[in-house]
Amino acid sequence: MTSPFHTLGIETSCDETAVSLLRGETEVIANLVYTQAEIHARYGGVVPEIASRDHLRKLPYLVNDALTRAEISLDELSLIATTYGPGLIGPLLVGLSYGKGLAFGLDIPFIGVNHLEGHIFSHRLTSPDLSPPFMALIVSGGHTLLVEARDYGNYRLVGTTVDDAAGEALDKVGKMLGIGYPAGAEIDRLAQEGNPTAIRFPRPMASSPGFDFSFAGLKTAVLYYLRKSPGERKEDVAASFLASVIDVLVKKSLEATRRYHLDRLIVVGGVAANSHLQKRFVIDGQKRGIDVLFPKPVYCTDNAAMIAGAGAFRYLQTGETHPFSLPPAPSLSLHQESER
Amino acid sequence: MDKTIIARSAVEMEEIGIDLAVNLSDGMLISLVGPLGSGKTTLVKGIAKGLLITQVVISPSYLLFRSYQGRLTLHHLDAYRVSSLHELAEVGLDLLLPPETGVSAVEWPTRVEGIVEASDILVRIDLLDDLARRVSITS
Repeated sequence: MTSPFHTLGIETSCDETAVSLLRGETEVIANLVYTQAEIHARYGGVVPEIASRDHLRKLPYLVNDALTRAEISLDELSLIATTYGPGLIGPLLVGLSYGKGLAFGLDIPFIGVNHLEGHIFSHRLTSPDLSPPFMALIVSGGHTLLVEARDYGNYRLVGTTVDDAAGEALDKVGKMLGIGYPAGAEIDRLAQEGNPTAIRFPRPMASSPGFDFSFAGLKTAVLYYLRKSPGERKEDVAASFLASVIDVLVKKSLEATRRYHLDRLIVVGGVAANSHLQKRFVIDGQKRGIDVLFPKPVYCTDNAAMIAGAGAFRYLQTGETHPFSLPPAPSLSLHQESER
Repeated sequence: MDKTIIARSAVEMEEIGIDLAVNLSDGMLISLVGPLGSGKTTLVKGIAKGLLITQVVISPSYLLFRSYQGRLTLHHLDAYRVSSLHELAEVGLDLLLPPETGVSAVEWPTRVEGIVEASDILVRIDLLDDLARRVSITS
């Protein structure tokens, strides 16, 4: 029997430092996202302050921890997959250099992964048998994109936000309501107890042609509403605002799925974990004969399992690897991934 | 030089940005101060137009920064999720305050010590009523 194929995934494109170990293409055997609290607990609160995006100091802890939890050793690794863009140049460089160095030392192949393609692969960790063609909505704090996936590696951008990402609008309205950052989960909870029809906020771009999104105007509408009616129940504002965001996302995404003659839509990224959004997508999807699928919440937010998944797929299916000279690509788009 | 303009719509806010772009040159730092939803990003969209940038300017809040190529390179930074210069230095963005080439436009500059003081242009936006904003420009 040959030994199993193990991929180490590394994700450091923005805020999160994340490491994951994958067996084969889809079996996650360790999945860690650094949180300050975890490390503090382990060292009895005496570790020096590690700054929020100090990926370099967090990475070695996480890699060791992942190997220990998965009960494998460094020499059982077969491939290293690291995010190379889009993201912040500094954090990308840290993850890339670490990944390349480890791959070089272990004499195993290295592959750079597009963070956005990683999100598309996140659904595969939950539903391994699902494959393109499908429409994908990538919706998070930093991105709101509609992408037609004709095949893995073959993507067409269908729509994008022209100002704020949906997750960003949630966070900023959360701030107006006095909720801490990130606000997604708390807005979800507040909305549970609010009336989504209490206030009629605008549905930006809902009836304009094309599949682009805009959320900045909606954010401003909430701001003015709160200035005029400071006594309004927070729960009702959260529920009404969320209803507006969801309306637009659901309407545009399902329309795009139909327009491109597809019958499946995957919704990925941090906002995909929102329970109200999932409910609406499934119900409205059914009405239109479209299957709407979501990854498990832990694979919705930024993680390294999706990076390992995309890297393992590309390597095992096409033999693709990258030279150690691969530079970080802060403005990488999915379109560029199609041309690779 | 001080100037105060009232913007009554997003289009007028963009126009202020377009006007501002005319006098920009390499190495300039612009601070944009104003509450959530006051139109800071809209004004930067105008600056981008004025610099002949054709790409769509989207909010840099999550990624902290985005760059665009035009007559000059525009670095659009957002310190909303940052609390110190050290944090910006950690990800290499301190080098854009001010930049060697191109211009930097920074939203939420007051969250990081020293940015407003180092700015060549300070734009302050106040909310008046439903549609109007008072835009005060100090350069």
